[in-house]
Amino acid sequence: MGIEEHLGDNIITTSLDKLVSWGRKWSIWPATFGLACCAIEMMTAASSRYDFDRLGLIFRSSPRQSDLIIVSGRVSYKMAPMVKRIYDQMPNPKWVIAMGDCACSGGLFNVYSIVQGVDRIIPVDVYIPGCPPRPEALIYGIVKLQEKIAKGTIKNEEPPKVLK
Amino acid sequence: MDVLFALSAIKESMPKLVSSVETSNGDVHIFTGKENIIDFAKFLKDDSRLQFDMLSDLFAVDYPKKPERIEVIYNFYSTKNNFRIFVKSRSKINEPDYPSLTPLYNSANWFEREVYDMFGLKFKGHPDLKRILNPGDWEGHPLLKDYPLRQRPPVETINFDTPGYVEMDEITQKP
Repeated sequence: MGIEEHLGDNIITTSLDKLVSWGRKWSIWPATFGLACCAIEMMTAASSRYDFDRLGLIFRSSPRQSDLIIVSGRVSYKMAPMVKRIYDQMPNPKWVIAMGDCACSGGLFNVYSIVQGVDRIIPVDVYIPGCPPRPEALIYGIVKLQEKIAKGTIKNEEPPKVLK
Repeated sequence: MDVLFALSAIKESMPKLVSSVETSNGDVHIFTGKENIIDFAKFLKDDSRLQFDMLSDLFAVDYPKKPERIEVIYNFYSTKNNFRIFVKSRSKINEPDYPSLTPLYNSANWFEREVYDMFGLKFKGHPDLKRILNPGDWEGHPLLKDYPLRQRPPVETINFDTPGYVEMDEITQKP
């Protein structure tokens, strides 16, 4: 982030790590982006019965305001460039959740047109199996992502990149 | 007036174009040569008794064991008389040229693009014959039975910058 360059490794930067990670983990903003039937389940998870918002997850309508992309569905070869482009447009730090069997490994779509797992295009932090995973499973995956974010450090972090 | 009346009217007006007829479950399937498709469709559309004013479907099937592998099925529907008729034509795999019905029926536009995408049939006279479901730079026609099962291009070859963009010349010049 830049501050640690001036302060070096000391007690202030470790405490700053905790503060920044705490702030990040309770304000994960996912991109409004869905691919297939898993997206229906993702919308349900955001609705009042399961309520994403209480974890600080608020869907943003622009990838440039998002921290998280939930790949909810199978990625076809035709869709792959768009998924990659949305991921590239998100500013650092950013995380990826592969939701459902298709996004994890291609699932039952072992056919000519489907990319066999979104991790062949973009790096994935959390894999959620299921066809489709229930909203509870998605929320569990997000809690796991929060745990990962809490362990993170701002040291050696890539600065936010502006894509033209 | 039912579809059997339409069949008799067609047989009466164009006995040479009808090569054989099948009926099943109240549907009528007429086989004809692909060179007659345009005349056939014109008659079905313009005849004042029949008025097949809608082409509700157009698709192809690959029968790999038959000598004439590709079968194209046209599904005409008459909204005035509430009946439909199926017109089929068969051709060999190495004769991909087909007449286009797009000048007669606008709905044929995307159907023919899909059949071109999946089976490689070239519809002569189509205004914009390019792939509709697969990316524009895809190789092969996936619904042909000799397309290798589960063959996928390497992920590294995906065109991420200008997805699916292909020069029109490339499409028209490909065999």
